[in-house]
Amino acid sequence: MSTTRDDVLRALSFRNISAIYIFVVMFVIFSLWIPQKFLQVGVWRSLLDAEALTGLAALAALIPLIAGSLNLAIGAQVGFAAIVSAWLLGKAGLPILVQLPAVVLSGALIGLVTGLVITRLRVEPIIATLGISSILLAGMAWVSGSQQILGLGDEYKLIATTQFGGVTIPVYVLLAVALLSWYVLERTPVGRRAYAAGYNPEAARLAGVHVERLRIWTLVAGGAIAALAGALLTSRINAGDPTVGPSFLLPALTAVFLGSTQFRGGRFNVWGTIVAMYVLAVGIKGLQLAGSPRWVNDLFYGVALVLAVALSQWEVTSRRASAIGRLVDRVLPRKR
Amino acid sequence: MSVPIIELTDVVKSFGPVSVLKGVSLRAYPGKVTALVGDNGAGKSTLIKGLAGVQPYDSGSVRFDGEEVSLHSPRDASRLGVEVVYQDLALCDNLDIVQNMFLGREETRLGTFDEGRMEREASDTLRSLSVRTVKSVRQKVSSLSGGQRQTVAIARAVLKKARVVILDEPTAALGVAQTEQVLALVRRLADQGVAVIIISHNLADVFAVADHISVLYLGQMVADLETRATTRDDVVGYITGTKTMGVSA
Repeated sequence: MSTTRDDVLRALSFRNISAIYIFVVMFVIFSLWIPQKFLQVGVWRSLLDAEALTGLAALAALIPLIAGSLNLAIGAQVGFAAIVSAWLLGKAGLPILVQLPAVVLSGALIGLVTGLVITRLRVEPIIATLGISSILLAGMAWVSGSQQILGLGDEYKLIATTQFGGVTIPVYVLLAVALLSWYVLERTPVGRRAYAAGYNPEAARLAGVHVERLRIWTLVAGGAIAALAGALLTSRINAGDPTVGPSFLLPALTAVFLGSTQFRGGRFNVWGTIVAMYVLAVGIKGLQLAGSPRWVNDLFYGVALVLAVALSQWEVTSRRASAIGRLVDRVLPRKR
Repeated sequence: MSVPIIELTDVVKSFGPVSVLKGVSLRAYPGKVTALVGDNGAGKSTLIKGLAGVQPYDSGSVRFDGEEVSLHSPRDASRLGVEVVYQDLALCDNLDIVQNMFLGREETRLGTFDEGRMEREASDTLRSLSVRTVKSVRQKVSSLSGGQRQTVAIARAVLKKARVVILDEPTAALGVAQTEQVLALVRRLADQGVAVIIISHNLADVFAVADHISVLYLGQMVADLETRATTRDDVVGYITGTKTMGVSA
């Protein structure tokens, strides 16, 4: 098949890769506004590193959402895992080789419980995860006494701070998890059935898909990934902090929804999520460097979430598409 | 007349105190279209759900190829080659035609999808049914018309090598031209040797495509007619209960 004008147009349309255009616009604005602060290698490196955990949280939300479960407990799951991680290490004194798998396992278990609540008790995912979220927040406060858990030792800190080629381990972890998720979701029957189950559970069931089992497994996978993010979070700040985890919810969900408008024509997808997450992070970073107050973060993500969902519903892009169309016309002949 | 591929005898089904099927018999033959008609509440859906294995019958015998079989789950039905094309919940809009046709039994090679093979088999199946209305098998199902969707759903049953295809109101939501296309497709399906059972309220469709007409009235099979040897008025009479054959009890 040859590449036609239409294919190129579709690939470059605002609708397909809006995040890239938003990124370009933001990059230009901040480069002109605060060039000394914004155009620093250190800024970009720290951005890549700091947001890797948001990326993991976003993937943890993405996978169940594909199969139809919107997970509002992602932030609490990350936070709970962070506290469990610190407690197992600092209070229970477990070695890292035991503690890390235990944390991931506990995350998977939380996902399993969520999945059973949704499929067996027939509670709507939004309500179920809202409840689970509150329970986990209570659990965090109980385990930590609403205090930071300190004294985790220097060894654990190395996990999130060691660099290879100037890039920290969490970035590699994100890349590995993203690759694995992409492969399973896009290249195996399990992934395709998850998409089917999320969109039309009844049709999927009639086609022989085990919809409920699939939904439970996506929540288990999401729970394990969220726990991994929590464990890395504790390593990164070298303490178990009960206040940090919950703030992952909004950036993660915003990235997932903005990501669904990217590349795959309205389908939730891995690379769209990762790209959207970093684009949003660049916006936040720019605003912070420009000296905006902290509440601007919440404002930014709130507005972005609403816009992202609205964008995913948006059909007509004629004006922008035609501007791009003229550009493409110069390169490729119009197909008649 | 050849041997029926499916033969239901004295099938009974009740929901609590309500008996919906009161000893129903039905036969379907390979290469023939059997229409199942009856008013709302006559028991058509219940009869079909039993055949699909979704709601097993309480008693009665089901013979497939002359042999007694049990239908207790959709999987049993699928194994025998019985496929049901449901009215509106058959396809996933967010997947393309190939993905829908292979949903639940995707072909893989070396740990990933064998897209080439699935695409080829999907195209071949559509071609074998002389479907020309679909431009590309990579179209998303959300972009298809009602008739095209019905076509894809039927093609999926063919792809599964179904020997009995049950169509639940396949033309209910379609326009005139699309109805025509789907009926032609139903005919070609039967010509391939498949036993087709079609549920319809539309007697014009029934007379256009069916070889036999079976009429359910309040949970009983009141008539089993050759389309050629009957009239619309007769069928309407059986459906509304103003006419009886006095055969089945």
